[in-house]
Amino acid sequence: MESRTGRLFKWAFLATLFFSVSCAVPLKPPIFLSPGFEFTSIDRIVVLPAVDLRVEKKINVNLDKQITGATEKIIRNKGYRTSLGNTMGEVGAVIEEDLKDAKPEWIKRLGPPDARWVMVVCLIDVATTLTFGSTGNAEVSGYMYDKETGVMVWKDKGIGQAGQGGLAGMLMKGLMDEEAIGSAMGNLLASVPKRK
Amino acid sequence: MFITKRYWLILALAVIGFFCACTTAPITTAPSVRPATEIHPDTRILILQPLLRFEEIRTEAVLPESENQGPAFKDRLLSWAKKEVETRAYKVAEPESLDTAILDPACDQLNPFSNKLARGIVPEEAKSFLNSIASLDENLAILAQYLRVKVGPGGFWNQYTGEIHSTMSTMLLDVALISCRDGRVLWTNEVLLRNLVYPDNKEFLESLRLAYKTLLRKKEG
Repeated sequence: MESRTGRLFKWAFLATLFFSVSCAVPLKPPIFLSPGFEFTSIDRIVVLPAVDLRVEKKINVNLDKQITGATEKIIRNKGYRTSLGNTMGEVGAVIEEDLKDAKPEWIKRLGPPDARWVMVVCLIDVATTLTFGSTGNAEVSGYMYDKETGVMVWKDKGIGQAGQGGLAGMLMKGLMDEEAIGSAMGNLLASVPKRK
Repeated sequence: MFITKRYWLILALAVIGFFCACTTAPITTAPSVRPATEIHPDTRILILQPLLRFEEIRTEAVLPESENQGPAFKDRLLSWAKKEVETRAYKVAEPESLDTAILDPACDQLNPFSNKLARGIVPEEAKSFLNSIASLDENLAILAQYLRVKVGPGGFWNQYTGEIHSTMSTMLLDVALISCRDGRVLWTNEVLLRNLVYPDNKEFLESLRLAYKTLLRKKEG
């Protein structure tokens, strides 16, 4: 006969199991993943300076902290060795088309010469709106290249929305862009699996 | 008395909120556009078929033009461009007046590059097609238009938590005038509309007006 404590433990175990399964964040499929590419083959990811591709640049964004720094931190927390590349390399000013349709010669000139896996994150848009409350929207895109072979291995998009209604929300307008960017960054890098 | 005061306070806040909502401008012109330059008075402008791209913002999946009023957007862009060009006293080059055996294939091959051309980027691959058009008339310049529509999550309000979101959909219109003779970018502009609207919507028409606002009037020789 099962004791009362035993039953209690069983139910507690089942509840914990159910809770952990329901809270587990599923890996988001990226927009593009090179066939045959395995994240386990990466030894170190060099995060290059973020690229500001916004049409409207009214909102001041600390790209180093909010994009480059955040990328490096999230990737590091997933178990990858990371470093910050302070230069875009010999490619000059970067536009979206360069990143999307990157040619092998261009990829090989991207970032520091000794880096192999390089990641670039771009800020596509960030906007805040004041209504009876305030909202923030952000859109980012990320690309990872293998400089050795000159191919794009990963590409994804992240969007983030933030907002709060009422007077309190109106007062928080200045924070909405940061919150939206933070959310977009999390969404973008959700398709990079944890390194075991 | 207390209720009346509270009523006025709520009303005042609602008015402020409404005012703020109404003053948020959804249309933005890019500050990075090329400054307007004088265009040679003999220039004839060939308006290319606009390139449209409808995509889902999260996945970049292309959405069908036909289900998003693509033909109506194209007609609106073409007619507006013609009107703006003629208003500034430039001659519009009608395709029928040119040798279509050369013009049609060149335009067809230029069309996929419209996303770059409309932003003032002339790829090397496009230069030979521009030269083909220039062989018909060296004063020809092409007007490229690119409309990129990103369809994203719409507005949202959670009445229990007070959480609100505004729409993420945007429409970005790029226009550029490029000399066929040397591939020089004569003029370009970019307008971002933070909304998803129909071709006859007044916000879209205002975006078109803003897009051509910086195109200078022809200088009379």
